[in-house]
Amino acid sequence: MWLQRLKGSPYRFLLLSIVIFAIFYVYPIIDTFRLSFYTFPMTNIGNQRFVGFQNFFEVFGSGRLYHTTILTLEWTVTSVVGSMLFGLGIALLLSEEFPGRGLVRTLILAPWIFPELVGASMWKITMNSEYGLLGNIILPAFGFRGSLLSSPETAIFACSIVRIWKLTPFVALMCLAGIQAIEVELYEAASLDGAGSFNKFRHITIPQLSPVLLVALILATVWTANQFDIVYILTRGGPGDATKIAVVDIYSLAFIENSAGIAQAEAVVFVIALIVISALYYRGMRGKQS
Amino acid sequence: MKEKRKVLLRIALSILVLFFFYLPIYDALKTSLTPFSDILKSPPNILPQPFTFQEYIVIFTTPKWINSFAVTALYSVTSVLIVLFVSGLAAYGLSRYKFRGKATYMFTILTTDIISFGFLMIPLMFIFQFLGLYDSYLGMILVTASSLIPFGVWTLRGFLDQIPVDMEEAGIIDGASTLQVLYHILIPVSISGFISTGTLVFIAAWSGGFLSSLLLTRNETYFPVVRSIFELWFSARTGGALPLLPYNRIMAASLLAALPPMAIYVVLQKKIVKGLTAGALK
Repeated sequence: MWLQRLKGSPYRFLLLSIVIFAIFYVYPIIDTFRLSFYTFPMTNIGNQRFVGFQNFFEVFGSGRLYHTTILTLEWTVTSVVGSMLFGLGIALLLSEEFPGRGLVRTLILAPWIFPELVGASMWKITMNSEYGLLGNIILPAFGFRGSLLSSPETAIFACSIVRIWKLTPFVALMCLAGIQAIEVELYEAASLDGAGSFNKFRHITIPQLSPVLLVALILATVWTANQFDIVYILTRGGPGDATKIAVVDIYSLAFIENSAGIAQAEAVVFVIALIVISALYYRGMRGKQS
Repeated sequence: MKEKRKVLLRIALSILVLFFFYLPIYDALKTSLTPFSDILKSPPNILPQPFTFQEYIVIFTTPKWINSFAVTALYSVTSVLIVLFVSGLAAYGLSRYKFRGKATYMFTILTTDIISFGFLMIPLMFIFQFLGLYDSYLGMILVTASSLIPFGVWTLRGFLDQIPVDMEEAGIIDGASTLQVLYHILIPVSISGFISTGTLVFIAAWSGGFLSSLLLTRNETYFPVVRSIFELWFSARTGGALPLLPYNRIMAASLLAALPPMAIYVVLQKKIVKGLTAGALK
C-alpha cells in the first residue's frame, strides 16, 4: 500500500511502548532468571551471593513447587470451569424474553466492576461463621456448620467462590454478546427441519459461540492464574499453606520467609510455563487469521 | 399457559442468580451501617438494627482516608492518560503499517499481558528502588500505567482495525502530515474506542495497585484505597490481645471504594460492553 511508504518509519509510533516493555517487562523477566541462581535478603538486595542450582533443588526437592502448582491448578480450574458454566447459563437465560430482563442484565455486571480486594473483603465478612449472613445463617440452614475460610479442606474452594462471583458476569456478558450475534435465520431453518431446543443449542448455539467461549476461557484462565488480591485478603495463604497459590507463594517466600532466591526459582518455573502458554495461544491465533 | 410457566421460571432463576451476586454486597452494606458495639453479635441481625452512618462520616472526615481516595484518583486518571497516549500510538502503528519485527512485537504484548507483575515482583521492586521511585507518586503511577499498556494496545488495535483507511488516504492526498491525519481524522472517528478503552483502564487502575503498593511503598501517604482497606484488616490483627476488627469501617470503606467504578459503569455501560467485546468478537 502506498500509504505505508509515504511517511517515515512506523517504529516511531511503537518506540514509547517498546521502551516501557523493555524496562518493566523484558528486563524483569531476564532478571528473574538471573536472580534464581542467587541468594539474597530482601532487606539488603545488593548483597547477592551466587549459589548455582541450589534454589531449584530447594523448590523441587522440598515438594513446595509441587504443592503450589497443584493448588494453583485446583484454584484456576475450579474458578474458570465454575464461572464458564454459570456465565453461559446466565447468558442463555438472559437471551430469552421475560419482564425485567433489562434490569437483570444491568444489575448482573456489578461484581465484575467491584475491585477484587473489595469483593474479597465483603465475602470475608459474609462467610464469617460468627457474624456473617452466609456463614452463620444460610450455610447452617443447609447443614454446614464449619468455618469455610479457616479449614484447610474448604479454604481454597471458598476462595474460588469469590473468584467465580467476580468472573461470572464477565463470561455472561461475552456469551450474551456472542449469542445475539448469531443469525436468527439459523434457528428458523432448524425449526423448519423440526429440531428441538436442545438440538438447536447443541448444533447452532455452541458451535457459533465457540470463538467467544474460547476467548472468555483464555482470559478467565490467565487472570485467575495471576491472582493475588482475593486470596491474600481472604486467607493470606493460610491456614498453613492451604491457599498459597503461585503469586501468593512467591510473595510469601520473598517477603515473609525471607527466601527471595527460592521465590525467584519458583517464579522462573511459572514464567516459563506462561511463556509457553502464550506461544501456543499466539500460534493458534495466527493460524485462525491465515 | 406453558409459555407463562416458562416466564415465571426465568424470573425465579434470575432472582436466584441476583441473590448470589448481591448477598455479599448486602451483608457489607448492613455491616457498614451497624454501630461498632453491635457488629460482633452472633447470630447477626439480618437488618441493620441499630442503624448509623457513623463509619461513613469517620471516613469522610479522616484526612488519611480522604488522601487515600484522592491518591487513587490521581493514579487512575494519570494512568488512563498515559495508557491512551502510549497505546494509541502503538496501536496506530500496528494497525496501519507492516514492518519487520511486527510478529515479535505482537507476541511480546501478548506475553506481557499474560505474565502479571506478580511473577516479576522482586526484580520490579529492585528497578523501582534503583530509579529512586520507592515511596513516590511517580512510582505508583508508572507501575499502574505500564501494567495496563499491553491491554490498551490490544484493545485499541481492535478498534482501529475496524476503521477503513480511505479517509486517511484522502487526508494524505490533501497534503496533511501523518500527525495531522492522526489528530484530525483518526482520533475523531475512533473516539468511542478510546472512551471504551479508557473506561476499562480506569476501572482496572482504580481496582489494582494492592500488590504494587505492597512492593513499592511503606508510607501511607502513597496508599491507594485498596491498600488502606487491607491495612485495616491487618492493623487490628497485630494490635491488642483480642482481634477486634472494625468490620463496619472496613465495609464502609470497601463500598465507598467500589463507588467510582460503579458510577462510571452506570454512565458508560454501553461503552464498557463494546470495549470488552472489541477484541473478541471480530
